[in-house]
Amino acid sequence: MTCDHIEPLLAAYLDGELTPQEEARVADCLAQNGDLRREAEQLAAARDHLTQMMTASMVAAEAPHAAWPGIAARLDQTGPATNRHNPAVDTPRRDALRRQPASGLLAPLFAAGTAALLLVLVGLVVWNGFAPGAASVGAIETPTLVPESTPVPAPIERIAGPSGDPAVPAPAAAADGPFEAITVAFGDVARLEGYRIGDRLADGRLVVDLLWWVAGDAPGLNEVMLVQDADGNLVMQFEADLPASGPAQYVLRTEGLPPGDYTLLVGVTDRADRIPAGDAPQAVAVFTVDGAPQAEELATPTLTIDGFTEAVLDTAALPT
Amino acid sequence: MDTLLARCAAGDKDAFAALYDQYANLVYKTAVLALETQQDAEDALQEVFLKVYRGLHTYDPVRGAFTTWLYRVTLNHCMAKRRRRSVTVTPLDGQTLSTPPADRGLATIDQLRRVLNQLDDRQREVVILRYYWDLPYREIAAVLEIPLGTVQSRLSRALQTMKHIMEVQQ
Repeated sequence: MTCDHIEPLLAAYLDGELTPQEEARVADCLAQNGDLRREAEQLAAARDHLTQMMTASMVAAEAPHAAWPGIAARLDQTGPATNRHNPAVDTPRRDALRRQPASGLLAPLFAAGTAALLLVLVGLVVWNGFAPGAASVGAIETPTLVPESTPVPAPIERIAGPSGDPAVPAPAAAADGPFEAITVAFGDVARLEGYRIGDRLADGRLVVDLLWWVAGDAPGLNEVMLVQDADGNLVMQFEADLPASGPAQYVLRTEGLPPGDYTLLVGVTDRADRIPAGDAPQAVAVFTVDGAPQAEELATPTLTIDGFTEAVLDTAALPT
Repeated sequence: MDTLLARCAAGDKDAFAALYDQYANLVYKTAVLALETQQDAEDALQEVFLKVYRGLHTYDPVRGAFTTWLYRVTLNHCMAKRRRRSVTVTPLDGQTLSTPPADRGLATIDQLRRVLNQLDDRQREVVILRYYWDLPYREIAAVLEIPLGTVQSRLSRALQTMKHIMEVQQ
């Protein structure tokens, strides 16, 4: 029997939290080793003293009765994150927010684009299968975030911004023009002050710029971007560190999406527990996808592996 | 309990008041032990319950008890606040550990905080959950979403730190 690495088990031994086998192992070591036995006795004394101090000093600590009215008043200014919606998008203003794609931009697709498109389509099907929030939750109700541990494709990327990677070039046709003014506050830690949505590119990418104001002392927060289809299904989700104040640019890979209207929601959550800061993610804009980008001339996708094997992907057998 | 939570999640403020009555001390006392001042703890009490109100839909009963989730939300909030404040560790004076626990009240809370400040935040979390709230190790692991072995080693390190403090005082 070895008594190496027994120290990490001593607290659990003293607290009676080991399995019978582990407990017997530690007890044997303590019986053999006087130094270890003294160490355990001192740890037990430290534990007892600490427990005694905590118990004694907390006797008078009671939640102040005066706190509830303040909390109740603040509840009136917020609301549970379920079943919330942004009236700005639920009203005729929705039309004002709607962005139509430029049909002239449905230009030739790259040769590898077809394979990439299929991969994204398959990825979205798999993703939706895992996502508990993918069930219909109403047109603009807040969907449940997909758990972080769930493997999901990354159909949204932040490509530039105060904390973006400047080495990544912007798409050829980035969003430009003035920002649409909007004020969406996320508690007192962040505010969305504007947005603009560019034209959908030939390869299905959609460029979105957001104009953030972020409090200087707001670490530990994530930005969340969600896309819902017209039935309220969550079709895209993006989470990353909240950027610093200023414009940030994102690319939404929409090539796998069926035609229809989509709602873009933006929110801020605590990184640790994923609870929204301030309001739940808010609907910011509606954009339209009018069909998957089509190539004018499709080359047969060819895959070459190490120069030895060549496979031809037979796309004729795939569903349209 | 499930009914109460469902009513809270639906926005029933009376139900939320009942939830507050039931769990205010859990949140407040945890915050008192985790944070530096009484005012910080009172602020945390408000902020955590607002978070609970907004985020109750993220609680999944399948993954654990409501109190497990509530401890997690409370400690996450408090530790984020501590990181923002970058708490300065004050060396212990000769009286801190030798003061009899019978001397109760705010003075001993301050003394206790000075002792707890000798622990790093991760050790502080497990110490609060184990030696104040008396949670089993498995529940501590669930609250902090860490392996059971990590709970064991963090508590052992925390006790070693406490032992060292006591040796220095003697």
